[in-house]
Amino acid sequence: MPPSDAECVRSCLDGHPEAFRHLVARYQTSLTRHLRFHLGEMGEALEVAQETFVRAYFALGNLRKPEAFFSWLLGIADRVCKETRRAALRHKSVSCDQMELAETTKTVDPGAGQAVTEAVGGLPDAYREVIVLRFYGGHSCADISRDLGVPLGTVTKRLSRAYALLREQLAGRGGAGSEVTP
Amino acid sequence: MKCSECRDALAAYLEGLLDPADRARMEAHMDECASCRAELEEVRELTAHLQREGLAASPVSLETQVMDRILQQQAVELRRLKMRTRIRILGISGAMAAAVAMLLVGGFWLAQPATAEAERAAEVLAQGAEATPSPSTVHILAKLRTIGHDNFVMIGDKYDFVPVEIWKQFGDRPKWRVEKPGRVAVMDGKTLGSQAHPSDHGGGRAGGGHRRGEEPPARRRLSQEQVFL
Repeated sequence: MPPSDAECVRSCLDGHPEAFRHLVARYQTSLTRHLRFHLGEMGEALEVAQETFVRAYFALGNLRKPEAFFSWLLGIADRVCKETRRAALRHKSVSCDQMELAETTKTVDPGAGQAVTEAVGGLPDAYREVIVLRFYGGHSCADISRDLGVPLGTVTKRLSRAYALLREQLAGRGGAGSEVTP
Repeated sequence: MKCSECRDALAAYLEGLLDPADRARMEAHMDECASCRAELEEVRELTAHLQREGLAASPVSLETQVMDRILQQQAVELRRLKMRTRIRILGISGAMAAAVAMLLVGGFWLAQPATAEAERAAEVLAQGAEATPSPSTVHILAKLRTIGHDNFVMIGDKYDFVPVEIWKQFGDRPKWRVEKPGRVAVMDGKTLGSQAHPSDHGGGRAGGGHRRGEEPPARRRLSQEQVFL
């Protein structure tokens, strides 16, 4: 049976960095796909995900609840995303041609997808992490329950409440049905 | 079943995780409640959309890159830690430790922007300390960004490099002496004294070469050191 998040974190803090490999393997897909929908580009999402994991490793000592590793990781990813966007804005001294090219390659995920992604990004941590793990990481509810160290009933309840919040947010944008329906 | 219970159980229902009795209760409630039935349909559409989004991205494998970067950064941190440990082993403390730390930063690291070279310099110094388990004296030649005649206060990358020498005498009464053009500081662990360099009369640089018949600079300084220490 693979070690839990909390066991991996403790192992890393005890001087076994290889334990972090389990955490990367467990969350790399969820995190990168989540970031891809935020940033719109897979290459950038991969870079931000990598930076997020490295920063997380060196900040493990500050993690108060090791069982909430993924939620904490999403917080770090948000900060790295913001830094990346700020850096991109600072480097706007490209030519008009380059700018047009950049814009055409960035608009990968317009419309309904973007609205849902933004709504997911705006969820409280506990709800966002179950949505990201379930849909972007392809984890089953039983896997999420084990990874996060919470009962299965808590996972499904959080998912239900996350759906309700997403529906509210999407309705506020002008109708959930029209946004969500492909 | 109440509507609030039904809403909380929607995910478990869609995932097929409800036991048969709860599933039957929920379906009975939805037969009667149009609002919950509509909500179930909306959530079904939402989850289908989320699933399509998730599947749209390709598989990811970051383990090797992440672990390589972590191990590289750890190696750098480890060397820095060893360096600090070696400095402690040498017995540097107090104000002199600050001077040596500045010297290392100013002399090695700022002098050589290439991190690998700076790390190498620090490593050589650490190895030297390790290879000499019970030294009686240590003599370090280095460069420090500072100005002459200053009392080891004005140190930083806005100043030019000047040559600096440091001696540590071990034993019952360990002492330190740091020398730079125009200034000498001596410390015995309790007191710190500094004064103009004895060979720097009129602002000339000490140790800039020696005339025939004079003692070599190193021996001359060591004899001065005996006087000062």
